[in-house]
Amino acid sequence: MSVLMRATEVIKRPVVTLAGEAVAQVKDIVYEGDGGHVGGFTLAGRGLFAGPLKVALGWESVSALGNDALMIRDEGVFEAPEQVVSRSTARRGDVLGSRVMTDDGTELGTITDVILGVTDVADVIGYEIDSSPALGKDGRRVLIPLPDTLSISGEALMLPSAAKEFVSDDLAGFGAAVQEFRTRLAGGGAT
Amino acid sequence: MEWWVWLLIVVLVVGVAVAGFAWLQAKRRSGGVISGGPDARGGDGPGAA
Repeated sequence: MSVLMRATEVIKRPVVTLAGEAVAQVKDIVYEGDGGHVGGFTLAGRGLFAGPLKVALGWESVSALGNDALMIRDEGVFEAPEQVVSRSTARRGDVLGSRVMTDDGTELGTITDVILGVTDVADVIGYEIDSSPALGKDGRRVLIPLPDTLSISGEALMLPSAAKEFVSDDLAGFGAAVQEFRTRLAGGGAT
Repeated sequence: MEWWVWLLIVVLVVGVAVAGFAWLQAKRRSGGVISGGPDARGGDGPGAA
């Protein structure tokens, strides 16, 4: 069973070695644009005057993703940033603030957070968005599920139009909504 | 000018510079969620044997 969490809860979370030393904090979460698997994290230093670090952390090097920290064996697991973030990705930037559109041309809203499903792997399974009038949610912040395969076109993130039927107001029950949505897509042969 | 006026000016300038640098670094530390990564990334994560 996967644990659902918001990406913004993971950002700035300390990276702690098994020896108990906090050696960094999470700066960016990097996920594969087509499959949604979290590949790793870029890191920043800790402390008032610390900036971004010139190392990154691959997902396979994370011993545990806890509520209060990311646990790693030691600093030897850090790797070069280009192992985690491709140059083209770095240019494209953050998905927070991007628009979400359906394949029938309806704008659903603007992304305020990304929902992760965490088991042995972490997957991006949904977005939290400030809803547009098209969703009929009075502009409320809602959760919308993602298909197994994602597509990004320019500045907008594209979803199948059926996603509108599986919108949730909170994380409770959102995992089931994602499953139903993906089952619908698989059954309908659409992506 | 009195010596303490110069001292006050120096303290203010240094203070603003330090605060500005700390703010800038805090801004650089803040991150987000980046879509896309290197191809064929895989592997196990937490809980893996």
